[in-house]
Formats: sequence, structure tokens, C-alpha cells
Amino acid sequence: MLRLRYFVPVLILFFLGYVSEIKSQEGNTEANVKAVLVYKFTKFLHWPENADRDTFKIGVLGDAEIASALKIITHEQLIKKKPAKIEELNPSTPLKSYNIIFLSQKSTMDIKNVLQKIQGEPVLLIGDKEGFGEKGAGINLIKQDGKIKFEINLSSLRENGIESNTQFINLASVLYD
Amino acid sequence: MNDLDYRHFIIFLILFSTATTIKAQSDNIKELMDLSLSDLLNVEIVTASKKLQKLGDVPATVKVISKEKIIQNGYLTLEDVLSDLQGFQFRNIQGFNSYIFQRGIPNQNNLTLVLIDGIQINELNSGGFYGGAQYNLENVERIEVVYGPASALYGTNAISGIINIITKNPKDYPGANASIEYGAFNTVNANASYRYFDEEDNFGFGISGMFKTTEKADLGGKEGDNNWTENMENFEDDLAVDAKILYEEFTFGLTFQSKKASRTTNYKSTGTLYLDHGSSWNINFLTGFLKHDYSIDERLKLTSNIYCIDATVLDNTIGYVTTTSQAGYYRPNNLIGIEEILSWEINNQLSFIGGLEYESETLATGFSQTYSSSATTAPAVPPEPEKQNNSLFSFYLQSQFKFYTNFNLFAGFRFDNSSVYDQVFTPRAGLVYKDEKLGAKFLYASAFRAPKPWDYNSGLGNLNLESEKMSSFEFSLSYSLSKNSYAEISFYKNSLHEKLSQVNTNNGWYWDNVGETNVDGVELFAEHASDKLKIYGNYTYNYAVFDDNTIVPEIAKHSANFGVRYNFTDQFSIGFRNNYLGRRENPVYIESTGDKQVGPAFVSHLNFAFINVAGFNFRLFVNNLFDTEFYHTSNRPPQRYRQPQRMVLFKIEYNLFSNNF
Repeated sequence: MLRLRYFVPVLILFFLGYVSEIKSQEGNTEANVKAVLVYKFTKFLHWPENADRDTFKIGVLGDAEIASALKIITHEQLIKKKPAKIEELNPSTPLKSYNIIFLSQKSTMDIKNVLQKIQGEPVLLIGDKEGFGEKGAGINLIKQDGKIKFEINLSSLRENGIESNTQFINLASVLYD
Repeated sequence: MNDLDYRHFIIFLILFSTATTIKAQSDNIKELMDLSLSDLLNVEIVTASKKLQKLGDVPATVKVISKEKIIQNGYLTLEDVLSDLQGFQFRNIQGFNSYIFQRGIPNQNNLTLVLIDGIQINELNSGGFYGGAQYNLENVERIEVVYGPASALYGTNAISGIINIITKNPKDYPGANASIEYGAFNTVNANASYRYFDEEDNFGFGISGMFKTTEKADLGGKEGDNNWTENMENFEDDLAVDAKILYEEFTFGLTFQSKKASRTTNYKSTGTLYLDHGSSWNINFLTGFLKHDYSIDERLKLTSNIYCIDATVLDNTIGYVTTTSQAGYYRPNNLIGIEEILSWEINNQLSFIGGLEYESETLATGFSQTYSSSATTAPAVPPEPEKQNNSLFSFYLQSQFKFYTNFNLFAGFRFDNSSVYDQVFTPRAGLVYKDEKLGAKFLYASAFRAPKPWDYNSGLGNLNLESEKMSSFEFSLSYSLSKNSYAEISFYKNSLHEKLSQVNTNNGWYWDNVGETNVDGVELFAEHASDKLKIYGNYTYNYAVFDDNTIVPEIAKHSANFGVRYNFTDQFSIGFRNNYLGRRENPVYIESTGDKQVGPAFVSHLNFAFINVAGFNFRLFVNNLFDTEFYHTSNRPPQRYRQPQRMVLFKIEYNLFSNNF
């Protein structure tokens, strides 16, 4: 029979050992949250017909973690009923063939250059830095009180031919027009 | 399990405690993917896991059982689902019901509130939910288990806790899938689901059906303590259908459960007039709701919900069969309710949730019964029983005040005004601390269970019953070691006053408010997940006594569970889980053992999964791997209940459009 005098000390040791043994790990949940947000955004947005391709392409500038998280998501999920392709880009990559460009704050590329490259094209620029929304990113992720919120630049969306709905717009923290 | 070698147990614990690896992103992402966009925007990113963190903010101890865990472990019944959690013990009579004791208080399943998509599935006439296999677990998104009193939000029956079963949303699980499972004791479990969602029209629907049948265990002759003959009949047939329709801000939900189960195990057939075949307890549950979610602005939300419940013991029920008669039972009950919930986040520090609720119910005052004049003749259909109409008006309010960084103060109450049990005021309060790694909760809560017609009228009857009342203090600590390593400990002190007890007299028995049950408890829990390995363990200590300090029967002081799942590849994994339940005092003397003790039990279960093979998933379950002979307690003529022998089940799943099984 399992006796109390063995059972309780062993369990306590087990929990203490367990607690002390596992090393603290740096979380990447912020990247996961941002990647899932990018995926969820696609459900509320519509690209013009000339953006219709066999695959839904997302290019990531300057953030390998976001790219990795997006790959995990799109491994199982279609976007707009198409398989998705996630690519990490460098500043010299042409951007017109992508449906979404994710511009990280870690990227060395200037937002003006990115906007220039996608001007008039059905490409959504998602920024990840305070001020990118005002500067012209269609959507910009910002951190507020430890949570990820987003801004929408309506005129940028219009210029790139991307439509959104009221439900989506109501969720934005800041609107630029 | 008298022959348990504790050395093996310690080896398991050591293996368990030394396994650590780096966590992959995928589990965290899967959790996040289940959230709506608006929920995602409220996920705090300072800590790792949405699940662990969100639970850390709630003024209660909460465990979540994911759909993956339900499928991977092959849970067939509600009891199975709860069996690996801390704080649960069971009296499974292997018949028409199974009794689930949360945090150390035996009861007729009427101290825990069970909800499906927020609508109670506790039977209306008795207030007790049915354990068993009638739940459509394939269509479950997750099950939230709340520990401790929660009447301040949910009203009657939420004394020991709440079990909220949340079904799959067509928006998140579009596609079709089906499964079939077969195994020991003629067990069959078949399921099929179809879900559709159109993003442009914001419209979707889902329908899911389930059929299960099982003979549960070998209880004939010696295997069942010679309570029944070798040819005893012991079946359970369950049918369930869930439907959900989404349109814009509206959600319509429907749940139907049909349970038909033998009542053989309620009585002994050897040496009595009872026969061990021919009975059938037939009960249907039907719940429906129409909900409207309206966001006035980002901080102010209004939810309106109209719902109805029907819980009827059907008029073709045969309660028991004796050598001279069959007994027919009939008991219809229904309820309609409406609820308005306002959620208001005034600023980043202060928020409120408040609700108004009105319910009107029509309940049978008791069973309508008929009897035939022979064992082979069916009784006449019982007539409509006498009924009573009750009404309930309630309101509740809970505030959350963030008064200092990482500190939240919760306070709230609920006021119920019933045509049956008059006014009840139920307060609760809590202080919650949560930072990136550490969480602490100090909680006070009260709760009540209002007597139901079944209590008032059973046996000799007693119309002077008062509500049972619970008061509870809890302190818990949690620590997130990394983004998916987590440990917690809870200490609680519960006191159930005005407890309903069975009073026996020369003329018969009745329920009365007699005395108290006091429970001091400790619950420990830890889990860790890596790419390949997932491990968890928990331990519960319960010291449950009546007010005269005598030990409460049917509650073990010690119980523990631990398990491990190893993913050898993306397609192949093995799970191993173990349940330990300590020695329990039995309510009645057991002739076959010569005492009033039900010995401890250590039971292991093994499962194998081979998934994503051309759209198919294959699973093999071996429950009670070592064919351990173990028993549950009894308050019925069979003096203890043998639990199932080794049970092997094989399951095939097919996903037609989606991987989201």
C-alpha cells in the first residue's frame, strides 16, 4: 500500500525539483500573437481581382520569428482558399508579387522605400513600429499596455485597392485617412 | 490496490520531473488561433501562454481540457474527461448514472453546475447532472472546469464548481469529419460533423451527431461481487445532436441528448426479487438558445440570451423489473429563460459585468408511476404527473478594480428571488496578483443549492427544506517557469451548511437539513510541454469531516494523476496516463471484504495515435492497461461497484475537408 509518509514527501520533492530544474526560457509569444493577427486580418480584407494568384504570398522584412510563426500557421490553414507562401525578404527583393508585406521594426529597410515599391499595387503593407501607420502602412501593429493593437490607414488601403469592412475598422485603435 | 509497489510510482515521478525541453511555437500558436480577432487584441504578451495567463487573471481556480486532450485520450464519458484532473473523485455505479464529487463532498451530482455553451444541463427536477456517455465530446472545443463556489454569477447548484462544455464554432472548424470506434464490452462510438462558414456573408452553421453504445464492464457473477447473475443485462445507448447557426451578431445553438441505460446495477438481483434485465432508464435533454452580442463601443458590450431547456424522463422508462412486475416512470420538466449581460470597461483600471435573468419553469412534483402485474408485461404508460410552475428573477454584478500594478480586486454578488426558495444573496470577493511568472489569489466565495421537487418529495417528503449553503476560502499560488511550464498550488477551506442528509425512520426516509460538511484541501498541479514531450501531474489532499469530526465516507484523503505523451514523429504518438485514488470509507458494510473500506487503486491507460494518413487518423486505446481489479463506493444495495476491466478500443477518424478534427 502506498503510505502517506512516502507519498507526500515524494510529491513535494517532485514539485520542488520540477520547479527548480526547468530553466526559464525567453518567450516569443509576441511574435506568435502578431503572426496570428496577420492571418486573422486576411479574413476581413479583400484584395482586387488583379491580385488573384494561385498562392497567397506574404513577404516578411526583418523578422525571422514572425516568418517562422506564419509558416506554422499556413502549414495547416489556407488563406482566401489558397495555399499560402511565406518568404523572408531582403531589401533588394521586388515586392509587387506579394499580397502582404510585413515590415518589422528590426528591418533596415525604410518604410518610404517599401511604399515606393508597392505604390498602386494590390499589396498590403503591415507595419510593426510606432509611426508606420501615419507614414502610410495600411495596417500598423502597436503595443499598448502589454497588448498588441492595430492602426488602419484607410487612404493607404484605398490606394492599394484593398477593401475592409466596418466590423474590422471598428476594432482598430487608430484610424488615419 | 493493496499490492501497489510505490517504488514504481516514484520512478514514474522521477522520470516525469526530469524531462525538460525547449517549447516549440506551434502549441502556443494553436491556442492563439482559437481566439477571435477582438480577443487577440486583448491578449497580454508579457507572459507566454494565453491559456495560462488568462486563467491567472480569473478570480477562481480554473482548468481547461482541450479538444486535443479529449480526442488523444479517447475520453468517452464526462467522468473520463474529469478523471485526470485534480480535485475529482467518483462513484461510478456502472449503470444509469455516475456520481462526480468535486473537492471532497459526496452528492447526487447536484453540487456542481454543468453547462453546455453556457446553458445548464443539470436535470431540472433534481438539480443533478447525469454523468455518462451522452455528451458529444467530438464536437467539444474545450471544457472549462471552475473550482470553488460560483453562485455569485451562476446561482443555484454552483457549490463545488462549474463544468462548462463549449462546443465547436462553425467559423473556426469548417469542413466535414466522421469517426467510428469499436472495442471491448461491445462498445461502439460513431460521430459525424459538418460545418460551413461564409466570411463574406458572415453566416455559418454546423451540425454534429453522435451515437454510442456500450455494456461498460463484465459484472456478471463473481466479477460483480455476485450481485447479479452471469447473464445480467447492463447497457447504455446514447444519441446526441448539436447544431449551431451563426449570422452577423446572432448565435443559435441547439443540443439534444438521448440516454437509455439499464438500471440493473441499482439493485442486487441475487437473493432479491429484482431481475437483472428488462429495465431501461430513458431520459432526453433538449436545450436551445438564441444569443445576440452587441458592441456599443470597444468598452461597452451587451449580450442578450433567450434559452429553453427540456429534461424529461420518458414515459417508456422501466425503472425496475421484479419477479412479479415492471415499474413505469415518467417525469417531464421544462424551463424558459432570458438573460441580459452588460460588460463595461470604464477605463484600464475599472470594469464591471452585470446581468439580469428571468426564468420560468414547469416541473413535475414527482414521478408518475405505473406497475404491471408480471415480469414480462410492460406497464401502462404513466399519466401526466402533477406539476408546479416556478419563477426566478435574479441580478448580479461583479467589479474588477486594478488598484496597483499587477493587483486586481474582485467583488461581486448575486441576488435571487425565487417563487420557491425566496430571496438569496450570494457575495464573493477576491484579490488576484499576476505578473509575468507569478500569480497569487486570495478568494472568498459563497454559494447555495436550492431544494428541488426531487428533494421535497422523495421518500416521505419534507416541504420545509432550506437551501444548502457553502462558504469557501481559497489561497492559490501559480508560477510560469517558461512559456509552457507551469505549476500551481491551491489551499482551500470549504464549509457546507444546512446540508441535505437522508433521515431514516421506521416509516421510511426523507431529506432534511442536517449538520455540516467541512473540507480542508490542497491541490498541486504542474505541466510542461515541448516539441516531443508533454507531461503533467497533480495531487489532491482532502480532509472531509462532518461537524462531529467523523470522516465523510466516499472521500479519499489522497488522490493523484500523472501522464505523459511523446510524439515520435508528426504522425505517431503514444500517451500514458495514470490515476491514483486512495482508500475510502464505504457508506455500508461490505460482506465480501468484511469491512467498510474500499481500497486504494492505481490504474494506468495507454493510447497510440497515427494521424494524417491520407486524411485518416488511427487511434488505439488500452484503458486499465494492467487489468487492475478496483472498486468504487456505494450507497445502494450492491455494497461496492466493480470498475471496468482492461478495455481495448480502436478508432478511425476521417477528415474530409479540414485538419481541424
